[in-house]
Amino acid sequence: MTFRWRDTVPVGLAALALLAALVMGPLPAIWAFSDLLKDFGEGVRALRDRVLWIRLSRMLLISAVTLGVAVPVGLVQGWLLARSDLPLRRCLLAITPFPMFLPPLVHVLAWFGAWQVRGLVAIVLVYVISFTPFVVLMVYRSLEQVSRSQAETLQLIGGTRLLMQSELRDALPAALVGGSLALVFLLSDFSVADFLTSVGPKVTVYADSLYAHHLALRPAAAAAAAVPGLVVCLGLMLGVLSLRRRLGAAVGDRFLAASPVPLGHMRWPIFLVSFAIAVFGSLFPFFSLIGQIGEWEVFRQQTRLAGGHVIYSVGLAVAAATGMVLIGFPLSWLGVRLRRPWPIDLLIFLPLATPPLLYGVGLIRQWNRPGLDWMYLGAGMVIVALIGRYLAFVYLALGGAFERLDRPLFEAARLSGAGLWQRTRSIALPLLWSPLASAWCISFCFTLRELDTLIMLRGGQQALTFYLYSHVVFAREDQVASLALLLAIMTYAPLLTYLILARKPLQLI
Amino acid sequence: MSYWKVLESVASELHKLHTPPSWMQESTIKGSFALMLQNPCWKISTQGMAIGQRRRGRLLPVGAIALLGLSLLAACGCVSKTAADRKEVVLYTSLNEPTARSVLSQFEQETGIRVIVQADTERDKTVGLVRTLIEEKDRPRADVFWNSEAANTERLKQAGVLEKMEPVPEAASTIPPQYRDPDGYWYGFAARARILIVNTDLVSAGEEPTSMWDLVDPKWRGKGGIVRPVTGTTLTHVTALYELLGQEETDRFLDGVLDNECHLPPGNGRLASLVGEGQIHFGFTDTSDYRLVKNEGRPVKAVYPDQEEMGTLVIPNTVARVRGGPNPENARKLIEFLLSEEAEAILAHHERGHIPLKPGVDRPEEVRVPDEMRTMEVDFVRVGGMIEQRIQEMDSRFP
Repeated sequence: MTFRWRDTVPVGLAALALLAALVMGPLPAIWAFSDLLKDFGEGVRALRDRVLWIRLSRMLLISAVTLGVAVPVGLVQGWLLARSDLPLRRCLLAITPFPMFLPPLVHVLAWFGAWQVRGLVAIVLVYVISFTPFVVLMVYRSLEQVSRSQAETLQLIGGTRLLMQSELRDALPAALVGGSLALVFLLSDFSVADFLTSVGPKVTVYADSLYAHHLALRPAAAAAAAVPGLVVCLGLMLGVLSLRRRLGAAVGDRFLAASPVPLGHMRWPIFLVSFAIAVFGSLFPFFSLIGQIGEWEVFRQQTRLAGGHVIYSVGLAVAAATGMVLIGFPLSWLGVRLRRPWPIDLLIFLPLATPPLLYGVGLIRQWNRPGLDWMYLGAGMVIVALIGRYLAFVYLALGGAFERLDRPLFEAARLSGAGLWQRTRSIALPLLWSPLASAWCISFCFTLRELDTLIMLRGGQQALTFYLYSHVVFAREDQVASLALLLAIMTYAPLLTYLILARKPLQLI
Repeated sequence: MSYWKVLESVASELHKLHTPPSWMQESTIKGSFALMLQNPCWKISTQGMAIGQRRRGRLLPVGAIALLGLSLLAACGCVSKTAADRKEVVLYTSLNEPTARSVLSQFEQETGIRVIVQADTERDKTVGLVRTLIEEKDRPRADVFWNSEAANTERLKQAGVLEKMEPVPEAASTIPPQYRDPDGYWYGFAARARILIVNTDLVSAGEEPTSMWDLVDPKWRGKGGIVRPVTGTTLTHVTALYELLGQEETDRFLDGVLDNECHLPPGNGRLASLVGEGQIHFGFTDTSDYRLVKNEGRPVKAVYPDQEEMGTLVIPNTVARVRGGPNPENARKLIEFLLSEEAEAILAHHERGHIPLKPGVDRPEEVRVPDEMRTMEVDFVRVGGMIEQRIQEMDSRFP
């Protein structure tokens, strides 16, 4: 059954959302790259620099090793949580997303403080812990669509082995979407490598080159050096997204979810491994930070000192997450409805793939104008920046939800004379309640951990992440651990609330 | 209801953090919340449909829009005032904010002028701040730039971001000439010395390194450390070495650093901590970072290097007025204050122990002033002019 053009969301609203998204995200990113036009020669010279390519290759290698571990582990873990009769799988699923919302520095503090691990192995370890949840959640979401008839057929033909092989193969594009999202964060990060190679052989990465050009006040070179990373991220993300769309199937009205696959006598040994993976990544940083704090009084004192920053950060995150959901809702509908959605995909993912410092430059150029002081000098600027940067996650989450909507129900409502607004209000929104809440939670958590975009904005100075990073070098270890723990609690709290209320895992896509 | 109370407290906290514009009084924010609470839109009929679904379906968009609206309303309360006649001054500083605040709060108390601070984190290496100043050059939002070293200030002067101080600040008259811009764009105060921090548990008394060349001595292979010289005081230090020792000698030193397996931490504070923890035997850092580690009770001592030869490098904090800043009069007052003996004394007594450059400033005994040591003779204007080239070289040399 085909969908009519104006089934769920008014076209005018979608156009308005597209315009808002364009102004908040892609336009500043494009502004930032405009330096290339001013001094093309400098840009070309930067691209001819051998060091840039060495560092990019090094970071891609680190990313490949990271994803080489994260994708298979996440694929199997996702399958176990989604399709097997693993004990406590809902609990494990609930704690899985925690690590991906913590800033990498919090992981570094937790792991480095606990074990004094360092070097390349430590870098990969921190990244694997941070980004494996992306893959697990994507795979879980993909495997939710396996139908009972499909599973039973495969089980009859080739038993559990064939069933697992087939389902893992089908979930691979989703796992790669998770991996490509992780790559965006990996390529723009330098702090993990910098910190974990403080002692011993130094590892410099791609983002170091970008910073060096900014430091040398060569804007065209900085923009040009960012292009290879941008191309890699966008190319991979759009390619994998398109693949996922092609392979992904909408759930029909006759859909029956497949029964869990029995693991037999291996159930408990597998559970122990799965439990270790989930708990290791999610709860270890939490307990490690508590251990580093030592005395409750220190934590209490730091919480009191940082109270204003906590409230400010929560305020920013609430506003940004709500804005993202409001804009992302019609936009993701548009992405699902269009025959060729790649231009919208490109626009939405461009700010996320743009290095944060460049994005900050673009924001200044766009908003530091007469009459816009009310926006530029306050928290409004930060909210707009965060919406522009992280809208991609809402777009992904709600896009997936739109694809899964029960289409005949809409058709029936339309034939019964229900208008567009009534269909949206009475059918779409109730059905999408859980994905909307999930998207809001995801946005909230990502905006809480953001630092790089805030650095260049006056309104970002009061955020808790800024306060934490200001203290990393100059405060005592227990004080820094207290602040990191506070950030972790702020991140975990809405996630737990969602999980308790919705009784569903986070829907990343 | 409790949710709205939380939001109300958010708005009220935001209001405390930033003074809202005159049209946005506290009562307006709170009044808006009260209106939202009384809004009858929550009481939507659920007739003809599953109650839960219908309620969610209607509440969601209304709630979301209200949430965004309220948050933006609260955000508007955070907008800083911009008119030049208001009693405020905007300071961009590369110092970490708590240190800067120790002086600024005194200024605020004495003058009643509120200082709006935009700072940087050590992790971001002043990149964000310098780029922001350059990007805002045509429509400046800052009044004063307080940099923790001199080279980047000189670069900003050359980029046309700074404004010459005319007349010369009264407090500047007693600043030694090597710590001020001869053209009058920036002035130095409250310096830091580049010292060797040594772990006294790992290095016995009498065997401490005394020169920068000890970093490249095979005796100390794998035991010394220096920050990767692409930013901050280490970059200024290395650029000054090129000026003083020449290309060949400095290249020899830097090659030696790599050959001798020196550790390259991300910042001077981190290096000082690592020496304090005993993970590195010794390394170059700033006196301010040394003092923090010493105050924690770590087994460290400071060695002022090369006292028999070229001397120890002393790098001043610098302050300058931003060209076209919105509050020029208040900017002058802040600069006068920062260059005063009072400000230098506050920074000297701070736990980071900055070195007063003016004679006779009150300071703790352990804070050594330039007169008590042999210092490197550095022309910071020349160093600032060379720094761009050196960044590229150092970035390639330490890949």
